[in-house]
Amino acid sequence: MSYYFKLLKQLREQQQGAKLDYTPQFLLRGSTRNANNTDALAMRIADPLWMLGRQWQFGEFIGEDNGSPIQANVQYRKEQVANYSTNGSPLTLDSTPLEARVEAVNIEPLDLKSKVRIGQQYERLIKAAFPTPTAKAWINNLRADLPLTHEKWEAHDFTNANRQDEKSYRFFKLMHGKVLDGNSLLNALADDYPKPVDSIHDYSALQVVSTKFKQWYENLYVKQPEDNPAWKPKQLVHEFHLHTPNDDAILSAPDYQSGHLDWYSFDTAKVTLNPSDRLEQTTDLQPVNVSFAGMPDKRLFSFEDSKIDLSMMDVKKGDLLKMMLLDFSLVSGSDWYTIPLEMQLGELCWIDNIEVKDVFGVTTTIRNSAKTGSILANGNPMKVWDMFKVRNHNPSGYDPRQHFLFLAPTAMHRLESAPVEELLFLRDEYANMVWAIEQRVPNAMGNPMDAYDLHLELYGPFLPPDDIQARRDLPKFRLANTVPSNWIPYLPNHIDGSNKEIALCRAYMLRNEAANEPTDIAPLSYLATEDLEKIYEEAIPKAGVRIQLTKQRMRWTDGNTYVWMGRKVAVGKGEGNSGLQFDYLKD
Amino acid sequence: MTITESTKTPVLLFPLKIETRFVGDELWLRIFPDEAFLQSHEPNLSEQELEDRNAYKAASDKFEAWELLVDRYGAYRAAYLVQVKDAFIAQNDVAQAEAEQTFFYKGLPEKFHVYLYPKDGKRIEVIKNAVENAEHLVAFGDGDEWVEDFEQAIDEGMAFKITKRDLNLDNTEDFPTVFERIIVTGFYYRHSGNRQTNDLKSAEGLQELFENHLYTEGISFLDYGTPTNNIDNDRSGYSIKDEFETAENYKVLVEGNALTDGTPGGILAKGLGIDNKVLQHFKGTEKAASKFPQLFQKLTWMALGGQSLQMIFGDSIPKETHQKLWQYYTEHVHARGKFATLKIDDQPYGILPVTTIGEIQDKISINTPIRDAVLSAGDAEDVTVDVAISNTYLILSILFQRWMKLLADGLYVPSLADNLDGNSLDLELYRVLSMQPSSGSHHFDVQRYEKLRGKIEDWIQEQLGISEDLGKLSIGEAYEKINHLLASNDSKKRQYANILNLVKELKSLLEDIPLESRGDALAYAPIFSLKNTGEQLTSEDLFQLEAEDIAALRAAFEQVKVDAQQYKRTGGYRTNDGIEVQTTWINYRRPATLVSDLLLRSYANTMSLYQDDEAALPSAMTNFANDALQMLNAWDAIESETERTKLVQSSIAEVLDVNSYRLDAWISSIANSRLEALRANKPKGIYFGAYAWVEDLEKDTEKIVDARNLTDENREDEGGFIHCPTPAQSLVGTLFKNAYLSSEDQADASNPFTLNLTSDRIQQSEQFMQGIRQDQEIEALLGYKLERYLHEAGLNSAIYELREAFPLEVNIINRTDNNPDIGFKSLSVINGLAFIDRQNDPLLRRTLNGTYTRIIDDLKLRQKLEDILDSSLDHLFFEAGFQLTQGNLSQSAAAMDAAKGALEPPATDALKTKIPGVGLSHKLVYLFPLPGPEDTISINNAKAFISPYVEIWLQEQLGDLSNIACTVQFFDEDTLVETKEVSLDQLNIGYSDLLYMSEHELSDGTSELEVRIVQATAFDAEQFTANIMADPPEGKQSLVQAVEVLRYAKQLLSKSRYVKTTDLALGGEEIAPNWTALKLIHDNLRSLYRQTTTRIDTPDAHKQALAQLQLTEAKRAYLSDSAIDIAALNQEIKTMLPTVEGQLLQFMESFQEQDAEAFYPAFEQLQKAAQAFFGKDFILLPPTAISEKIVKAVGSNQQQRLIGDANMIGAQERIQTWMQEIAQVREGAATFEEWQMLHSIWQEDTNTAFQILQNPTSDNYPWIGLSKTEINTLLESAYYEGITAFQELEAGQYYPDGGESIVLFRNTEDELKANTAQFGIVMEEFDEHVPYEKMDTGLSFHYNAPNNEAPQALLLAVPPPFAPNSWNEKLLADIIQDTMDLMKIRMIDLDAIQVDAYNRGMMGVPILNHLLPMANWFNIPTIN
Repeated sequence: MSYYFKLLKQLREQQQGAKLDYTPQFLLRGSTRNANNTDALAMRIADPLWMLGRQWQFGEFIGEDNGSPIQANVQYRKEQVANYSTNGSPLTLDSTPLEARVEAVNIEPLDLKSKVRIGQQYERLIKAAFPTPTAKAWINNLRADLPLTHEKWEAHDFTNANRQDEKSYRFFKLMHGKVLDGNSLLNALADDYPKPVDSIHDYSALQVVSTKFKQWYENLYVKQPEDNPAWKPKQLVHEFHLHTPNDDAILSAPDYQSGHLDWYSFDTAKVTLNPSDRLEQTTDLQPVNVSFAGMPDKRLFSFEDSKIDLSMMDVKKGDLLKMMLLDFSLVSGSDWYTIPLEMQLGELCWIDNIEVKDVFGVTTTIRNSAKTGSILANGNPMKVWDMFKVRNHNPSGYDPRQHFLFLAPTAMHRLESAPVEELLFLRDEYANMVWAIEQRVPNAMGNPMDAYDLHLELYGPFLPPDDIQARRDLPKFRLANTVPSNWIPYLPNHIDGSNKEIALCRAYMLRNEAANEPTDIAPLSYLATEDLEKIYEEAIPKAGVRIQLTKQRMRWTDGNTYVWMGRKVAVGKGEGNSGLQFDYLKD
Repeated sequence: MTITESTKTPVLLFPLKIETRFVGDELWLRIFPDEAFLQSHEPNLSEQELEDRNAYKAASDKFEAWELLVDRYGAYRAAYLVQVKDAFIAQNDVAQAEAEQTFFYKGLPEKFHVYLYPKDGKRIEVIKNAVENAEHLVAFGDGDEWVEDFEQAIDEGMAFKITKRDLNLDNTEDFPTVFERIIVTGFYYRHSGNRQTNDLKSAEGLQELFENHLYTEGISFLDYGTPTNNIDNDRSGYSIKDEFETAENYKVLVEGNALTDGTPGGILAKGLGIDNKVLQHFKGTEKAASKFPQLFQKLTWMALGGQSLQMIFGDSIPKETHQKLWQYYTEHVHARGKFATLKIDDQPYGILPVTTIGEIQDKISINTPIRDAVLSAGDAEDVTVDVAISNTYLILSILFQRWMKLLADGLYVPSLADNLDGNSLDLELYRVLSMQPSSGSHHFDVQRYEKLRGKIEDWIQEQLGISEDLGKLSIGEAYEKINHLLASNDSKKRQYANILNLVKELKSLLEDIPLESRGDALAYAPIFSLKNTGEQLTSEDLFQLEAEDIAALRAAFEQVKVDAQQYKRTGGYRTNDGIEVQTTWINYRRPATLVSDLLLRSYANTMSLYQDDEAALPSAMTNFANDALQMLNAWDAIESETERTKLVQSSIAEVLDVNSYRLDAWISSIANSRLEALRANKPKGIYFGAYAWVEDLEKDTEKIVDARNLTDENREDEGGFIHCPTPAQSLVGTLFKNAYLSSEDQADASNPFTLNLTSDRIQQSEQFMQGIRQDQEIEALLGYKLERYLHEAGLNSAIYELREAFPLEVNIINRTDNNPDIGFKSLSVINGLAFIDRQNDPLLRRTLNGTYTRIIDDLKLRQKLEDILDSSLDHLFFEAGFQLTQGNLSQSAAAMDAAKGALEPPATDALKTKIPGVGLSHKLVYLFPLPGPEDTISINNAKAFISPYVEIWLQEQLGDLSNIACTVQFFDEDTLVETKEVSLDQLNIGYSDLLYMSEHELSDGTSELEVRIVQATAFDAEQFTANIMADPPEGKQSLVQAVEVLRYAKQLLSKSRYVKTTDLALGGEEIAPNWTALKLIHDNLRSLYRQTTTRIDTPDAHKQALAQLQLTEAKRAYLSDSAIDIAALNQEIKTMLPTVEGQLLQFMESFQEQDAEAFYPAFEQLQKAAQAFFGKDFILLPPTAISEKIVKAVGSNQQQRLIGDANMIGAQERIQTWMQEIAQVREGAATFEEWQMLHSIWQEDTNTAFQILQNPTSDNYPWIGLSKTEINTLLESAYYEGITAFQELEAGQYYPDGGESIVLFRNTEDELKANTAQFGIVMEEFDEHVPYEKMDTGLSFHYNAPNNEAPQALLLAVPPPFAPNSWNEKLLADIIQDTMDLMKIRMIDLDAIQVDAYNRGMMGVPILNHLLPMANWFNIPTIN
């Protein structure tokens, strides 16, 4: 029953039952106000006068003493970073991507796959360069001279005692005698191998092959400039600087760690040039309104594309973002313009001013100032408004020299391998030491494996000496208990010449097994073995540190491919406890 | 200059936008045509277009050909190509090379007239020079200098400098600083030099303008209510993808739609006086609107406006006048306007008939009582139309003036104009947005209640004999009084229960609300506030129209028709009993609804007009009934119930609106009726022109332009600029800075948009968030940092004290008041968050004692920790904003949630430098050799029989099995008893079997392969230990090593995916899948199935064959040479065979249909069948179809073009290097490389070859895997002499965006053959990016730009009743000025009037009658 009917019925009863001597008259009237105004944002098509009226309400017909901007010219200064330095004198930046240059690790190709890859490559080049019989003869000679080897496995000694992991071992056996050793080859070629010993063989043709081969090898991996590495193993950081040609702007990255190098990897900028000198000017850029996909057009009734729907957004936190977008879309958005400004990768750019010309030819000059550039309040970093600046976050005042944009030549798109090695450093308060847990390490072929599994495969399960104890009913004194063999200890030591500063030095756990002489447990990773023998105490915070070695590949602006092995340093998993105990009795 | 065009033809005015600036003692003005003028149509065709157009003409399947055209050109250009005539092509040398698209304005007026309305001054007209290039004024590109250059714009006729002389001012007079209005008009002349153009020629020009739009961005009619923005539950009615929709576009753009009078296209064609031809191709042109609204409006007149007239004027208005007004109302008063809205490009334009009634207004006084004015209007000499209509004009003129006066006097209509009258912007925005175009809720008029209350009070007093004056009491007190009086008298109580209830309701409605807010409260009080049932009622209850109501109404009006017939026959209507009844009687047998009430009341009132006219009455009854029945049919015709409800509700609301506050609809009706009259006399022809307006222009006296050098130095500091690495970041930076500046008046600390994203803060926050991602607690992370600071400051002792004071609490999540001891306190680190939060805790000062000042004030350690949190929040906040503007809503929400601590921080992206570049993709594909005619594989070699290509591939890798051998030594304890040599061919198994056996270790003698080897020695081994030696027998290849090779082969197969036909498509070709080859696999599986089912009858006889299947029992029996346990075997077979059968049957269903989409699902059914036979790791590959294009590409010398030869770039060697690089980082390529290493030492002389295929430049452009230097080398080389295809790439561009390379690996020299099945695997696929050396950074700046826009309407100007014979610009300006007023009147609603009325203390009914055209009051209990 409709309510309308109920109303009629009620009134009729009043009229009839109570003999009401009055026939009430009603004016039924509509209201156009709707407290739920979400639908109004749809700006629906309505009758033409309503649409015009809406435009009027939203101020689209107000005349203004003003003109739309039609042209903008930017006065700017640009400087290209040209040099790179670590602690030594600056080197010229070549075309190598900056990340590769900073991060690249030099590792000798000691794993089996690398050796085979290199060896087979050389053989392929020989086959391509010589007739088949000659090529075969060369290859046979070379294989005899430079047989595939492995530090654990001598040429024909495949005894179990020298076995590494099973898979690598099988690979080695298969390859042995059928390919020359790539690493040996590289070392030999460095010594001008093979030296001509007869006139029968065409050594010069082989030299051509070797040259081509060296080029191939050089191209395959980016090498770390050995005399000037950015990596500071004691601090677990990369430290480097970029310089403009005259050193009048130097960007410093004293503690770059992560796997992505960008403008914010630089902490400080030492700028001595005057950004208002030597200004250049763009010509006639056309400003367009700042807008984003799905933003309502500044014109009230313009159609949005239905494919992009920001109304679906479900972001809250006091709906600040919604407020921001609404305010921008409906109120202020039409007063912000954007122009593209072309920059070369590796450039620093200071904008001095923007001259904006409106459709009447009237020019307005827009500058940043203390009021509109970095907005500072009481020197409190939490009350500074600024972004994309390479500098300390607590500026003492507005300094135009700091107001540059650095377009970092960074590698956004790259292919990265799974970690080849991974070490997790954690502090062990109970043992008063630091552990480096090997989590991933490569096997002899060079393929990454779970480190614990590999330790287990190589050394077998730990057999406690208890097994040989004659009497099991008495408590046993133990010098120390054991930890998993992939836990590498780092022990605090005073740094030479200092009573206060402490460095963590890599040590060894003992493998004290039944029936065997105690031996050191050697780490399996390059990082723990060679790279990180000593680390400053402060480099391992209580939050822990995770270090990875990964291979990375990218194509750069020249279309070339760059492959390098790089370190990545990240936050660890906090503190840990190995359960290591010394001098205890075991029931 | 005078326009000489006749006012017998209307003028269509397109909108313009104007901008103004005061410079010195002048006002500068610019005119910009709106998008309705903007064109980019190019009538000439490119060579390619001509070719495609001719192909379309020749095509037999037009729709298919159309799809191709749309795919290439979009629907609108395709529509032009389809319709362009041979004759046009023959006459014009249309074919030309591809030219850059130009944008221009077309059909502009010959010159513009500017009308200035200085404050308190008279209208001043300024005319400037002719518009140059009115037919083709360039908007973008060569010739658009006028857009930037003001002087050039003046030369073009698109700008004005309005001087004192123009305003007739002398030098001593000040130039006005305020203009109330500025109006611009312009009139289009088709033929310059011939002013006497005619309206038909002009109509052609208009049609051409429409046509040009049609072929560039299309034109649509829009449904009423179409959203232009996206909102929560509704999407905008437009998408760019519409252009590529083929079916509907074909129907509209190619075939066209039939138009009738009731369709939007038909109505507009008639209104504009142009042919249907163009309008037939507008989208939505044919959609006839439902007749329900129109008929409902017509049928309810006498219950609404008509009843009101009767009540106001009584018998002063004769029946004929009522009829006339009724007809006028029905035909010309439209709540939604006369024409549907048009969409041109992305702009909607309403089409609004307009005129001016200024002449009438001049003749009457605003204060003339309407009744007097109407009753005396018959004497108006100048009124040439019907008196009734003239009276209508008269009434409307008076009301128009009164409403404008109300506005001028400050009637409150919300607006976001600069002057907010002290209201905040947010509140005003809320008020503006809360307005709806039609009424959405309804309520009773409060004045009626006041009267009702008075009457009831009088009556109560009389009935109850109360002496006290209840009127002086509040209604609440009155209620209490009555209640008290009745309390002791039950019979009276019952008798007056209704009265009491009513008073109670009134009490709640009127008394419980404070007087000062009663107006608002009552205004918004819905009708339901009278409800007494406690139900929650919605507006649907008021407007509900159910099927039963429809049926009852239909029955009632059918009966009316019968009654009318009978009345006609009998000369009066009588019942069967012969009783004469009232003609207004109608037999409606349902509870009343508002709809039925209105209809029936209207019917009754209508018939009462004819009560004395027996001749006319039957027709009136029949006509009304017929209309009502049609309306009910229209209701039925709406299929969707939702749509039906929506339409009914909006129709009723709009009818109530036009009978209450929609004065604008009534005033517009004058133009509508004038237009109708004009078209009745002159159906064809139209003039057109342009118009613009702004109002309230005021000189900015603070920021005066320096007229000498045209500079404005005063607003540089408004917002400054922001420079970011990319435009996308600059956008987000702008949003935040804008929000920051908007909230700048807030205290610094509370401005939530204060972002500090400098480099060291980002590092700091990134490190902090990394810790959280590693599952560390925020409290601990901050604690670690604090302890580090303390340690560095030499304050180690404070660390331990603070750990005690602010311990980390572990596992306290489940702690409750009842279980306060859950969890424990950890003293391993200071709780950093507690240290920050409890800054005012005396404990802190007490704990730190002497070091407090140093730690808190000097070292500012708390601030440092807060800074870490703050920088992380800033980081996440920026990320959220960035993702939001990128349309990544879920990422945005994730960042915000992380900022709130609800989620762990996502990986952030917003602050990175994103260098643009070219995206490329690569695939590494292995195609296997196919079995040759000699490679007959028996069904007994079951795996190979099903998957022969794997068998052949392995065969080629391993070579002859007889060459692979091992030595087996048999021991008795440690004594060597026997040595046997076994070669693999002795094992009676195929290569595929070996593949699957290779996985097991050759160590303890238990693997199947080992058992088979021992078995093959034919040595009685049971009592001895067998040892398979690693070294092969002399002259043989090692079995152990062969197994290793197989392991790598297996790894390669299982880590790759199978090749699909689309993987090899070149140039977008669509290759049909090879169902025949797939069916062959099925047939083989079916054969195996049959064999198996027959073999299970005598399993022992087929042990060897059955042992090849996944039948453990058969294998066991075979390897141990024992009898099969039939029961166990049958159990296994019972599981296996039904699965196989089921999959094969399902496959056949798909095969019958051969739907391309079903190809791979069908293959997977076969795969499941095969795996049921052989185990889950069995590898079956689908056949891949090979096109002629691929065969040609692979077989040609294309390789040299793509990768050079051995001397140049390196060819094979170069691809090998590329693969080696990939293998460093990608697992698939690494697996392939390992396989390749093994394979090359096993078969050193194998001829392997990579081949490159690539898209989109499949033939001639170098391989995209090469460097730029290498590409240059190839391009410059002799290979490319005469080859120009690579020039498709732009200068300086080396890689086609989206380029795709397919690196094909085949270790066979066999030629590929088209239309044969191939089998292969995709070993690797990845995307890469070659960055540009330069990029556009984003620089945004603040500039206070004008906000005005062109009006969103095409005005169809019709002459007023007293118009001269010819159009003139001034008349157009008058019409535009009236339209500006009318637009404002449209925004006055009942709420505004009521608020105003209350604010002024005007509580009485007369004020509303004074202001409203009609009022839909009615006497509810009239139905008996």
